[in-house]
Amino acid sequence: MRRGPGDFKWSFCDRKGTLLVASNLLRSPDEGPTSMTGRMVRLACAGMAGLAIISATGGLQGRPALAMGGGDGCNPTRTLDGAQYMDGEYRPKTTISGVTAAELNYSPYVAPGYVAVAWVMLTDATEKLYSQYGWLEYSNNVRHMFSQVGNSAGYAYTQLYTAQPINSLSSVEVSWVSGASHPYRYYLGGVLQGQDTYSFTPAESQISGETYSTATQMPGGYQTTHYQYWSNERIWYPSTPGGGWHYFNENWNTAVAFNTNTSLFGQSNYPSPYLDSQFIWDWSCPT
Amino acid sequence: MPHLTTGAKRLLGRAALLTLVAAGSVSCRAFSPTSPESAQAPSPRLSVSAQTQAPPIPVEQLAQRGVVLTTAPPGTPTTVTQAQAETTALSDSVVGTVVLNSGLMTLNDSGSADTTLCWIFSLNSGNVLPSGPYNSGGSGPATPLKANFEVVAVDATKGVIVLHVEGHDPTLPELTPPTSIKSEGKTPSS
Repeated sequence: MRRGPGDFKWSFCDRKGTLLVASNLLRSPDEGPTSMTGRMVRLACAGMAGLAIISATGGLQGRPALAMGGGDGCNPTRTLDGAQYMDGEYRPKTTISGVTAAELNYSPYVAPGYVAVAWVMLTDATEKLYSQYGWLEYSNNVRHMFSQVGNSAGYAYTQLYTAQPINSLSSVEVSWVSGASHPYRYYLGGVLQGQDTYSFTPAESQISGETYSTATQMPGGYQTTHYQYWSNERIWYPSTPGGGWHYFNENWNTAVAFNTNTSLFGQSNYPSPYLDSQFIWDWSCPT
Repeated sequence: MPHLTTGAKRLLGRAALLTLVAAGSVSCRAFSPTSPESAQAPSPRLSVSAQTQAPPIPVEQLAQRGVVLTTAPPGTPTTVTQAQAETTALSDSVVGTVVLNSGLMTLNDSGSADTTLCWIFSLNSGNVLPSGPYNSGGSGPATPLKANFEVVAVDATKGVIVLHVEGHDPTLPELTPPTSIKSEGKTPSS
């Protein structure tokens, strides 16, 4: 699903004209073929005041850039199958000790009795021990922020926190402090929300949406401005000198996208010098 | 409470279990040293459901994650009544509509120096849970889990929720659907 730098055709720009995020659209029925290059989009951003959307077919549009899924989302009207679906990307890194991103608090449709989540995660990548943090939504709009540790043997321990406003952006972070009594720590906007005693050494980070049953909407709609997205995706690992936050996908080739059902869900990244933003959506839902 | 090591907290957790059993306020399972990271499937056994014997507050499951609960001394005064706290706890739960067990306890979470006097409620959960990472190694998707424990702690002075956890532990019986007698030790329900 990754594209070259000239393939995207819309973007978000802030009040200073800085390009914040952008993406390509492949099958959106309300859009024509891609025609703007990345350079053209950046030039357009430089002349904009306020949040706006650049469309290849219509130029500037007045829709607010953050008008994403809300209410009870979009019912994809698919069959209830109870299976797990994931749509995101992972980054193997043996010395990793943190992952963070600005995560959109999208509100999808959730089939009765099921759940949809979007998160950042540290995992050992072999035994499937993991620690994650993000938003969670049960059916009937029951929303929480959540953290969870678990393993592949059927163990899971979830802490639920106060939900963040729908369509707001939250800086979410999982950090690992080696040797600490509570080594896994969860931050919202830089503020500690919870901790866990859990013992594993992370070797991979993941950022993803996750649903149960095809009857649940994967977070994100396929129309412009309706994606579930993460921006400023970063991982922490030691560098010289000292440690630091690094792009999730450095040099274009360190992260790997995954999508457990490409006919139902979409995934893309913004091809800036580093791929530090990710977009996912449900092909059955425009918004 | 002074800063405690993980080992000390686990000891405290064990002490809390023994205290709870001794006090008779909640019925607790015998402590098992098996950690979740190395948990094996439990051997099949029979147990009686909540209809005849209330499941214990999963003190052990919380202690394993650094949350230490200790039964409050009898007669400890509270500003918030148990009924008020129960209403608050149930309002924050998705499907937990029945209180399986409850008690007045002090809570120490994640190594904090302070403890909080709380009404603790164990609810009949059963929510579908996020079930782990994408299997980058190539194996199939994880088996969806349903929570078999849910605990809400309500501050007995302020009336606010200070902790809400749920999860799945293979060593605990499944909570839903409630039946009079059911077999345990099977693969977690999906």
